Amino acid sequence: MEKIPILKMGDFLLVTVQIDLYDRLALNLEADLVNMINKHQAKGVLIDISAVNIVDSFMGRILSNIAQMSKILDALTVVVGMQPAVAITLIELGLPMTGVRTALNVEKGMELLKRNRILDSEEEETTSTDEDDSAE
Amino acid sequence: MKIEVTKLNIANEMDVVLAHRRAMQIAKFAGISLPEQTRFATAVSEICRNCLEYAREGNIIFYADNDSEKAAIEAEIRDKGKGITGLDKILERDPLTYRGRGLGIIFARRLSDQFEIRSGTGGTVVRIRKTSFSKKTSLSKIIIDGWKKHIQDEPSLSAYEELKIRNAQLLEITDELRQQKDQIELLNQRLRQSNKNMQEFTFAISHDLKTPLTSLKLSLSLMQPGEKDARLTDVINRSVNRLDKTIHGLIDILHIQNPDKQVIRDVRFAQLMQEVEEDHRASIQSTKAKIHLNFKKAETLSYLEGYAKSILTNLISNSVKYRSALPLSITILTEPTKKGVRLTYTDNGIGIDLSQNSSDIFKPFRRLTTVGEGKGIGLYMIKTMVENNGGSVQVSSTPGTGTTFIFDLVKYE
Repeated sequence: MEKIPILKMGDFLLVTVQIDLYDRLALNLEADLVNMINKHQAKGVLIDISAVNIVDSFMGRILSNIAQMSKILDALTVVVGMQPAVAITLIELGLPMTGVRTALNVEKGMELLKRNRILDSEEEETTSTDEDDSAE
Repeated sequence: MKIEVTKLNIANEMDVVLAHRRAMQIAKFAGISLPEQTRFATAVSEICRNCLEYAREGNIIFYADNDSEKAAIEAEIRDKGKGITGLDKILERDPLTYRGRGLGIIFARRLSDQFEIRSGTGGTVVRIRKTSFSKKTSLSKIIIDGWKKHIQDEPSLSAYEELKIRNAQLLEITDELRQQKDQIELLNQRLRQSNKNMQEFTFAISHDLKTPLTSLKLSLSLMQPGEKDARLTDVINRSVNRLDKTIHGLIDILHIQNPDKQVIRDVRFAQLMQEVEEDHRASIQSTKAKIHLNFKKAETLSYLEGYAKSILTNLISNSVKYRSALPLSITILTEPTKKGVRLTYTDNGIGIDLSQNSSDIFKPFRRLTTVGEGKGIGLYMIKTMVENNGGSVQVSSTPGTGTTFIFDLVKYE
């Protein structure tokens, strides 16, 4: 059975989809990702779909599902490397890709995740200070 | 004209990927821009996915249409599922507000230049047409043949496709093997029957050979040296004659079982009967037989000359042998059939009691009567000859009144 590898990079998970997703593969990826986020307490997921040709409603739904599940587990999903033709088709479709953030390429995607992480930790710090204050 | 470019069946999710790739490829051939290729291919994959999910399997055919005002490429996806219930409602769904599945059709329709869907209890047919061509493309037969060749010759898109092709080939081979097996079984059956016939034949002939031999032996042992007993010599003579006849019969049978040496000719029945009557002149004259012929409806037949003659000779000689007290009368008629000629032969002889012997009359070395002298191979030979190329023979008879044979002779090509 084919599997799509999920790499851990610090706080983030990197998924590079090199082949066209078919149903079972996509559903497995969904499950694997959720497990990995939980296991590594990842704060972000970067999905590179630059090699993917088929982005139809099924793929859109899978990406959207992953984003929403990750969000519940406190991780941000960024999809990068979408081909221009695919982007055009997605707009034509009017497919709602709820919760999915996008970036042009892996580099930009990583930046986005890092920036988000910094914002998060700042927030955490402020919250923790608040908590300290209230404790006193 | 709508020309089929390629087709594939959709039996699992990998096929959806394949269908998508083919759609991209064909759209590219047609000179459509990349975004339009993607639109077309995405529409195709949406419908293929539906087809797989709701009908479990189906097939997709890609066409190129160069007939209408505007050239088009078309993907036709068919399945034999239960059909889509509430299709009108589904088509009214708005993807921006509707949450849930079942948007595939709407997406596909949005992405197509022309979209057609028909669904009933017999299954669903979807046609996705792309008519927007970015540059002038000629979809002539030659060019489309080129596409076909390209698709055929290109290395498989994936290991899965390779497997799929191999699988299809295997299925074809299996089918062929099955047919061959059936044929072999049929041949086997015929062989078994033929073997059984052979056994009966051997049994009959050994009996026919043994009886005169036994009496020969007995007579010889009774003979004294130097003595010449007329009675014993007579027995010996008769036994030798019987042996001779049996062996001649055997040779005749061997001869007709080898039709390769025979010549196919346009046999003229009238001429053939003249020859046969010539050969039987003595017996026909002595019995004052009257032979009525009517070959007007079918005068000739392309047949093995030797066979045709042998069949008639045997029939006449039987009629002469088994005639009744009345003057012998024989009638022979012909009429054309689809495959050759039907020949009806009737005599007014002693007849055959078919109620008792119907299964035996065409078997070798079976004599059904003690009247006259015979070897019991005439009818066997006739049947063998007629059936050699798919012909058939039927017999009806009333003891004391006569016999009718109906031959369906099949012409030789």
